[in-house]
Amino acid sequence: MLRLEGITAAYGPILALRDVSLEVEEGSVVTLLGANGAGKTSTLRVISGLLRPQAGRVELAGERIDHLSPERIVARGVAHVPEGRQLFVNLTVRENLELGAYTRRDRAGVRQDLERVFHYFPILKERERQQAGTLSGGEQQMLAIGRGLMSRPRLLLLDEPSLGLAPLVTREIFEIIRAINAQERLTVLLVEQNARLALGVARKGYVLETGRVVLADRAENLRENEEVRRSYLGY
Amino acid sequence: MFQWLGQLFLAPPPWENPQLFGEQVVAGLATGSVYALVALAIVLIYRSTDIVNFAQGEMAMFTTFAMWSLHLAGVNTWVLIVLAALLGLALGAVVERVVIRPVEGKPELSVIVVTLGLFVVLNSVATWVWAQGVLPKTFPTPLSLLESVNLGFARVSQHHVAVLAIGVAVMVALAALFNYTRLGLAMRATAQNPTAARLMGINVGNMLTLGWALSAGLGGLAGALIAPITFLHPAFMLSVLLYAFAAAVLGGLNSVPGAVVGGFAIGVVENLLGTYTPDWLGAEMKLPLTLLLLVLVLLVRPTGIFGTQAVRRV
Repeated sequence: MLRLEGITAAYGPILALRDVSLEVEEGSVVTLLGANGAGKTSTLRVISGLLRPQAGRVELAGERIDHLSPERIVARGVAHVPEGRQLFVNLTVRENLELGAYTRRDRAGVRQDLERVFHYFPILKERERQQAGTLSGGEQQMLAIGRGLMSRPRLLLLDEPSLGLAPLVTREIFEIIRAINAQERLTVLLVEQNARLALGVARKGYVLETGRVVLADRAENLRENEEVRRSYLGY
Repeated sequence: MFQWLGQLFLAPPPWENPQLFGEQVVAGLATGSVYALVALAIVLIYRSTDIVNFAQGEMAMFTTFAMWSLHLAGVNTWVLIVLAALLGLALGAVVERVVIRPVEGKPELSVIVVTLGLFVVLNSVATWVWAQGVLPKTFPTPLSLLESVNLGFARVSQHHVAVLAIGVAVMVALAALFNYTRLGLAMRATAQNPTAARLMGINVGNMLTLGWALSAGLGGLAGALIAPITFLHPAFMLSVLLYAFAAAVLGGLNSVPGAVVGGFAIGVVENLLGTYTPDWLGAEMKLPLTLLLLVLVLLVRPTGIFGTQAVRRV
């Protein structure tokens, strides 16, 4: 579904990614692990077009997308749920969800997807008319994911969905991510600080260090890996 | 018993001449609707770019002079009002693409300086092209400033009634655009969080261009509506801009309904002060007095009447 080949990217003079290659198979959940500043968020920003790579290529289902603008890439089926959620806090829950479907013209399908999002996140239905900024942290994360789903993506990029949330809420959100992936075979690329949770839901993982992929393996192997255990799992 | 109070006024006080009071209120609402349009223009740009466009008034002055030329060429006066708005739209779009786009993402001060530069350029060009011969020029109205409409409680000039009606109609249309259309929602989203808007698939650059176009379109319309009252000269939008800015700040710089309410409030206050300010103070004091009232309101509500800090949980 998604392939990155030799991606190098920088913010001005600061190199963020060096020769990053990775692959996400259709219908799978793949996670990116790594410390702060390792390049996880930058990788997602390259995929969604917010950060233009200096070298390398990004392919979505066999087609190059690394030269496209973010708005084109959304239309191709990539939904990026960014770090810190980036909701439209002064707009209502409903309006946020409608904006998620901005690139779509099929009204009936959008209405259907709205029901689908409310099915996964019933609390959003209750809060439909409220300003997004008045939601709790967990509800805001649910709204951010729901807004991403509204574009009916082929690939969902999730950046730190557990950020600032209580463990119980985090677990709930991960359950829903798992359910969405299982029921709809939606491909997910997940960036997560909480390696234990991420490796619990992912099939495959990549470990980034200072902008490079240093390890790539199946999730169960990474869970057993001495280095990963010490650095990211803490036992 | 109010005689001593009545002495304080320049004109007969409201309880002696309610008709005059009513007329002044309606006339104030009419000029207020023009201030509201310009205040909306200011707010539109402030909300999406966090800057105040200091060239707002000069852009409107420029389009109004262009309309004056068309008037001399024999174009129908109703058509002029529509063309003023359309030329404003075009001017706003061009200014955003050509002048503002290059400094986008630069510190806000750079952008403000660019709008000041635009102010000077437009003012100079307009002076060079149009400000020859007798100034100020009279600007035509499709109706009459002398013929009045009887509203029952007051008689108001046809032009003032038309200005009020056009102003209100445009504001209703704008409200519908922002609240009930996909485009309006996209504009609000872009104003609030451009990065997230891009991730939704919104072309943020186009939204900014559209915002500037709408803003200058409102300015152009306002210029053509107020020019028959104020007469036309290169600085004629300055006082309008000052009142409109006061209106925007009074309403809360980021609030669209605030700009409308602020505009009407400032228009009425200005008119009443102009009518009733006692002799020893002089009607010329209405601008500073209006601004003094503004300062008093801001002391009580620093964000303006409708302005808010964004609700946010971190």
